[in-house]
Amino acid sequence: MRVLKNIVTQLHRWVFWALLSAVFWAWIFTLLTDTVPAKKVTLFVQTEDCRTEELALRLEEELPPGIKMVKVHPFSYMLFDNGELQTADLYVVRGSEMESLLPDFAPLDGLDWSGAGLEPYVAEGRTLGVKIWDAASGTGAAEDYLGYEPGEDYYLCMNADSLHLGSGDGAALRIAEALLKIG
Amino acid sequence: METIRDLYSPEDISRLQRKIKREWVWVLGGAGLTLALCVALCCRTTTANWRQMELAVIAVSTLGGWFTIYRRLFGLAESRHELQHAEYLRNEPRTQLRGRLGVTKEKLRIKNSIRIRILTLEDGGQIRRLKVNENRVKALKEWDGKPVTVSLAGGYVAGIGGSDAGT
Repeated sequence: MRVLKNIVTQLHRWVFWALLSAVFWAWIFTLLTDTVPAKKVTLFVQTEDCRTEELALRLEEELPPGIKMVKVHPFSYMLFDNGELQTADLYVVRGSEMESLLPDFAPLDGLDWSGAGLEPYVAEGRTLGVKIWDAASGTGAAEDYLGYEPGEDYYLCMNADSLHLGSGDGAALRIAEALLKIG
Repeated sequence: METIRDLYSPEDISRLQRKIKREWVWVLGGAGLTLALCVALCCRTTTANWRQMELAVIAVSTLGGWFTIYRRLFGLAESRHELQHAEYLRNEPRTQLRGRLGVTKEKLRIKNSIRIRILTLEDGGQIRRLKVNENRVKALKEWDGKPVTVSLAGGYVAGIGGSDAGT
């Protein structure tokens, strides 16, 4: 009885500790499950749905040297505010929005996508994207992980500012190839 | 001649000192074990299980923290207050009063101090209200309703004996 009374009289402390604990460990886990841009490859996907963790796990099965993790983020316009979008390495974007985003993309030099049988997106003589989902035929890559919108083609592109392009460690290219190989 | 029996003997004070050491073990052990478990769970976190691990760590941290806070507030702090009170009673000058003792159910709680039980001492129609550490009320129950001599230190009951004790 006395124990119960003690607990009730200090209710505010138990509630405060529980909240503090949740906030602190959520912050710690944010740090634990992330790393510096040099050690991760980030993929933003503009699909309706995305099984982000499963896709990240699949892409992490064969990590390029020096890379600790793959982060997959569903695309959101809010991301423009925090700069995360600009520091991503790979994008899966809608075909209808490709033209407006072209200045941000790097040529896919060094990317081996020919085996996937997918068509490139060529602008001004440069290959700036590869079609990862063809709406007309309903074929493409990573269909189990990415919820493609009906009637919309999707392209895989690379950020021109990525640290992991061919001139860097090339890790973005290896992850892009791994993504294209997912049936 | 009957003597007045102190509520706190030197053995009681040693017992309290040992209890405080034990409480420190509970508090530090609880905090250390909680932290160690949380760190161990963090070390086993992967991309596949991080959501479950985060929930597990929050649960361990919350429960372990509650346990530690409880021992700190109600084990360690109360023992320290009781030891301070016991040492205070042993060092303060004392006065003696006689009368019929009554153990009431009235309790007082002073912040950062012991829990107090109110006693009454009736002597020739005059009723005095006395204070005693609630943890020592059991030792006074046998005197409830009987004529006693109490020894007071700073308004607190420090010892008790029969009505002819201390004469």
